[in-house]
Amino acid sequence: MNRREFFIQTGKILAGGTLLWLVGFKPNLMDSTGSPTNAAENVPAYDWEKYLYAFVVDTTKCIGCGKCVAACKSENNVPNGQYRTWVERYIITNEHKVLVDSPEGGINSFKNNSPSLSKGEGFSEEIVKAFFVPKLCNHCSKPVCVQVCPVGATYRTKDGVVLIDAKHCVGCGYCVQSCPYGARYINIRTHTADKCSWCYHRITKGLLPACVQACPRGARLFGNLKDPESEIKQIIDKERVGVLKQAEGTEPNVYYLGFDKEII
Amino acid sequence: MQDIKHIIRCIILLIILFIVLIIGKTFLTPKSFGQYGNYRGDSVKRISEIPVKFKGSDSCSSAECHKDNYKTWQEGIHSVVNCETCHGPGNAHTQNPENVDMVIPEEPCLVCHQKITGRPGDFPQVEPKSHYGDKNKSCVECHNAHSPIIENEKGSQSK
Repeated sequence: MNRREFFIQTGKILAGGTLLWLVGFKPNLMDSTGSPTNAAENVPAYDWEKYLYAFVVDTTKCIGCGKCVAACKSENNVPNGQYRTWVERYIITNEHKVLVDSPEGGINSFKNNSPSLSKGEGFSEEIVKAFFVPKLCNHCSKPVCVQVCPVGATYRTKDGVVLIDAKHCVGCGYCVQSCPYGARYINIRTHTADKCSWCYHRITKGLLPACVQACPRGARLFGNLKDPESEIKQIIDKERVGVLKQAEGTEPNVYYLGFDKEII
Repeated sequence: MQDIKHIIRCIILLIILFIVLIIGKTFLTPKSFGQYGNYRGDSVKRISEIPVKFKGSDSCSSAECHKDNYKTWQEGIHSVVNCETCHGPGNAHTQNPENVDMVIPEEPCLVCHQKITGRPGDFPQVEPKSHYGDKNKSCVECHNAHSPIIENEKGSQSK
């Protein structure tokens, strides 16, 4: 066999192999009907077509106790120093200074005044307005993080939750940089991207996210937009709600009651 | 003529390379990738099967163990606060009550009721020093954490 024949034979074998491969192997693109979570045991069947989730934060009710942050940490094994949800305090003074603090994500509540307020030299301003703003992943309808992921390890489910496939994630951190809300981090234990999942393992079992259940003031509300009777649908339709960084065009699904122009 | 031969060889090599790439890709792409979209369909199932840690207050009502405290809590103003908000995640405890303990917080009240900048005015808050003087008292000496409103002799309520 000379070189010419060798190349011709190799080409034929490869072409034949490819044909056989394509005919014999069909990737399971076809059976995409039904919900992926039905197989779970002891749990009522869950059909993700029937749900579209949204979250409402009532900043007028939040007392900054940090119970949500603590609940999220235990429910989701969030490492110390990293947060899937956190609480910020905004303090606005009479000279229109805006001070924001969030000591340890607010997990142990807050001190009476923010450090920057008490340390400021010759500080003579009066506090005119102060409030707490809980933050979490906004589960955007047009998520930037999903678009930038080079391996398809993050995605938006049919029921409107942005999730991370930690097994598939390569930990490049593009999504962490792209999120306008700073909701993502690289988990120091797994070295993969991590963030709030609206407790997907709870909501598919008919439970509320851990932070919603833990909130003693009902400042966090969660529900299904496809149910016209749900409290969340009523609030978003009838009340005056705001979203964070609307100009980013991400279409967030976390709505804020008592929104203030200083909130970023 | 010689030039065309070279070009044809190049094209054939490129086609072979392309085929090898496609075959390689089908081997390396996870099986359920693309089932619902540009991601692994299996991961949705994997995430939804993670066991829960917070069980909810209802699981405390069915147990005989906490009957009295549950009743006090349910009838009082603190019924809006779930058991696990103060006592920590309880799923493991409901499955193995003898070996897994719940959290009994030492200072359960001030994390919510200490007067601090930012708390809404309609929420009951205290400055401990002015509330009970300089005495080193604990809130629970007077208040029941499960139902903190004190009904005094005149029948009026004080918080």
